Amino acid sequence: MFLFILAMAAAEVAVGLALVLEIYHRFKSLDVDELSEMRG
Amino acid sequence: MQLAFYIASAVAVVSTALMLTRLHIVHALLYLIVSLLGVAVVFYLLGASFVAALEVIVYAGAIMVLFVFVVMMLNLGARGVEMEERWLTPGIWVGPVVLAGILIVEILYMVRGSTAGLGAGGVEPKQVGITLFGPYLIGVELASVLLLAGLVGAYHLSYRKVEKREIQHDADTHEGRAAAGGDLVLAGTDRPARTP
Repeated sequence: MFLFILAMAAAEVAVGLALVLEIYHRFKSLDVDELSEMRG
Repeated sequence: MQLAFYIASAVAVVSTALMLTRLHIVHALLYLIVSLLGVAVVFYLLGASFVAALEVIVYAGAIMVLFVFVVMMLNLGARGVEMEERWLTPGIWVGPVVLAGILIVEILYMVRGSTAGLGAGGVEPKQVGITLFGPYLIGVELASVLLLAGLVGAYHLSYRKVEKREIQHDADTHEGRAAAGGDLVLAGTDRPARTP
């Protein structure tokens, strides 16, 4: 059971950090308040 | 044996509390690594030596290293300190502490009186391997598919199309070498030669 949780945590961290890097590349900061391009 | 458990769990709890209150993100990550090592010691004392080794190697050694890589690549530490000073006021701890305290009281009430033997029923790595090849085979295959999906997703999210002009030289290395300033090592690349 712990092995599956570990594998899932590794996959989740990889995808999550890729998202973080993408946000930094696009908005040049990791402030979530800067991500307000959608209107409304 | 009980003393070893109390020491290891105290280290894990204290380093987690320190991790939550640090202003510099690299300090927080290092305290989280210490906390995971403490949890690995607790796993070992419970008899799960294979799980303890995996916790150190995979969780503290791969996942946290990924975090440290990203934080150090984006250079988040120094800029974040003043932001955290503004946001991490003492007053914001009331809500999470109260809710987590309710959970702790509930868990302590449920496990009162039952003494789980430390080190009772140690699981050998050979046993873990046999169960992974036997009853839990589907779980292993699903975990590998999940890791493949995570790998492809992370690669696709960070794919950048790089426009790079290539300098074409003839197959004769003398021209390429002269263009690179007499350097045989740089002759095949488009990097400018170093001026001595």
